[in-house]
Amino acid sequence: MAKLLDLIDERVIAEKVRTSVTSIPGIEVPVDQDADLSTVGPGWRVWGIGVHRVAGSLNIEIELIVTLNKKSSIPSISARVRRKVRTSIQSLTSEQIRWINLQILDVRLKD
Amino acid sequence: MTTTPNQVASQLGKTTISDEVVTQLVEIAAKEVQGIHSIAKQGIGEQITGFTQRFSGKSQSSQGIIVEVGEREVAIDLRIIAHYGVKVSDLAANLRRAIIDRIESLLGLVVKEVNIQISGLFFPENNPTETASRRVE
Repeated sequence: MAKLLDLIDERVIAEKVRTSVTSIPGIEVPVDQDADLSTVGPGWRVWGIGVHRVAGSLNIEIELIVTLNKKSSIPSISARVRRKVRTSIQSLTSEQIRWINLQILDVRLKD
Repeated sequence: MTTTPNQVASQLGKTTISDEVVTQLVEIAAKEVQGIHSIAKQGIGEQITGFTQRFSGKSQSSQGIIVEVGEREVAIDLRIIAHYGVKVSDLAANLRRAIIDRIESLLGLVVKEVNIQISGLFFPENNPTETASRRVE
């Protein structure tokens, strides 16, 4: 079972994380020099997302640029991002997700 | 990366909020308060401020704001230039309330302190570009 799980590439996971996070309105993931974090492999790089396998479980780090309106807040957005990422990754693999760490790099306010 | 470990931990992971984000929200909240002309520049003169700004990437105004963020609480020091004629105690109370409301509602952090230093007064008549009336046409 563990060997099958290892077949899922970190790039696939990172891209899935990025896609699911950016599908949430008001959330962006930085790219290029705006990002401090990336998942890298031979010939590819997914900016703003870190995927690490530690002791058979996944640790995920995500950098976020958040647009807040009067009804939203960082705690509510964080919970929403974590739920969304967890759901989308669990649809991809049965690997356990241990941590989803979020780094809020920038906040924009919308009237 | 200048992000410091301002982490709100949960069972599911940590949320790290950069100092710049907190500073930016303090600056926005402060500028919305009536009677405040600007955020004062920090420290020892405009030349050095400009020099450090180039390397830190911070805006000039945000250098008058210092934030210290813990896991659940934040302390804020800021230096402002107030409009001449405004009652300073009211200004400080309004400013404190605006900052606390903004930070607590948007970031979910408890504001422990807001220390305000009025480091200058702005006199509109000393700034011809901001005076409404002209002596001659």
